[in-house]
Amino acid sequence: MKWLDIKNNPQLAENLKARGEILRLIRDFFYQKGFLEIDGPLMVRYGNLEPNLDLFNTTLKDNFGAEFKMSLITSPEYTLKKLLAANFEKIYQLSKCFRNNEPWNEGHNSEFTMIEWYEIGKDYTDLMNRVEELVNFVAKDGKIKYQGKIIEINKPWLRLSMQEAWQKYANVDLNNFLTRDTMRTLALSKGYTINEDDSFDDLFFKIFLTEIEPQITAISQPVFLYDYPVQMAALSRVKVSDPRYAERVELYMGGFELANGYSELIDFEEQKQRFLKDQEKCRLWGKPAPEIDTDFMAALESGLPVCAGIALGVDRLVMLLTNAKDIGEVVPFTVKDMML
Amino acid sequence: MGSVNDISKDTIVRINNEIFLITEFQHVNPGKGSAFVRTKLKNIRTGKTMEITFKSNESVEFVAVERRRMQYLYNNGHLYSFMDNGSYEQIEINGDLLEGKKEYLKEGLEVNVIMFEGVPLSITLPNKVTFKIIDAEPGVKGDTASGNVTKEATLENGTKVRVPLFIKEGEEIIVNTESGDYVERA
Repeated sequence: MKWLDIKNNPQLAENLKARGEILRLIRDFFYQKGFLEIDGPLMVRYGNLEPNLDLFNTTLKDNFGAEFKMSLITSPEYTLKKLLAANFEKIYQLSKCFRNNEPWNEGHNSEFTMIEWYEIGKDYTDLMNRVEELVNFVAKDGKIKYQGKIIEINKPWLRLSMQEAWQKYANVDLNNFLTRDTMRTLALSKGYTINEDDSFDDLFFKIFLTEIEPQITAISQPVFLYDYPVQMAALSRVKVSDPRYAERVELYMGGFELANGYSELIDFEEQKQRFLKDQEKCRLWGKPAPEIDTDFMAALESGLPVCAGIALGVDRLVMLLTNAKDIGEVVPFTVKDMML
Repeated sequence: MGSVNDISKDTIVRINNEIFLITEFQHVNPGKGSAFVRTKLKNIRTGKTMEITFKSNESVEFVAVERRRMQYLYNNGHLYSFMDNGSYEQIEINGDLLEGKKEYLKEGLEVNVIMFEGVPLSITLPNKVTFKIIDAEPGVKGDTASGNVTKEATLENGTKVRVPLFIKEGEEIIVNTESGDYVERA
């Protein structure tokens, strides 16, 4: 019984106290920087349209018996961007997010806490600076001791473009392998298994997860990996100086993927095309394709200011700051705890 | 054929006409990506290790292997000897093939030896094995702030494990052979 463990193991109790303190510090940080906390809905009419994520779906009934299909958010992105269109300039949400069909392992719980923020007039470079500030503010010490390693967060964090990372760790010039066919040839020559339906992303990840990511997660400094191939842009804008890449950034720290951010895509037409493609992908994979959030599209069409946004996994941040190896050590009750 | 999702340690697969033993595997879900399985494989013919990542729903060819119940006898340098208690036949396996497993062998332990075309490739250990503690630091109180609520102890076969502070030399404990973690007092 987990509550008994918490009662008897002083470390677990300490971790929960640290978690409460960290949540307070995150709010302090954003308050000091002039951000407004948005308490947006967790249950929404239109779930996030991301083919690689599975939504928790539920049925809402009103008092006349009418039924509505609803979903739990995988991220508060649509809500926050609608508010940017409504002239809010610096906003964040610190809340639970939900992802179905995820493993129950050391770094995952089906329900987890994210801090997601947006700022107008900024880009992904500003986001990287802001993340460094935030983590230093919360950690206080300038150093994080995690699983026997010292992460010196008060020294400059490593910033690597995808192209630099592939060059450095796989000795491959990514510029030459930015199509499905060329990436396929590369994967084949390296001895990977190839399937008919492997997309560019799949082939990219087979090589990246084997040859590059383990070396990045082994670095004791935090690493920002930025400029993803445009096929993996998600909701980031295409790089003006090099349209083969998109302004997306991921943060790796202490062996975790800790944050994912974008110079946001604000082009209505382009967004519509990407959503249609994502729906097509869902159908191809035989899963229900979430409908497009019409309200979100209307907000985009009305004109969204230039902005940047990022989401950072709070449970993992707490793990780093409490030297916890398993997410269950920093969350009162994980879904796994409740099944035992 | 089988799905990559179903592989486990000691699964034997055929890729591009070569036979591989899966020695390590890890499910990875990159942000904004599908699910993948990162593996370490040992080529049975060349003995070389390689790393490969598969999509988790990919099909791979599983190779049928024979599993023989055998008893661990002793090791002589790199070679580990096992005996079939029915036929008294003895076989030897190179320690390189028993990485992460030989640490939990003790004399008389029954294991499954994985054979492919008559050649022993690896073993599967019982999930939990009882060991006697031959050496343990005295329990130190406090120091809970760093999360250090365990101490080091040496098992009868020389392997070191982390145990709770109350465990003393001479006691028997149960160890999880998959994770190497202390489970409980025997």
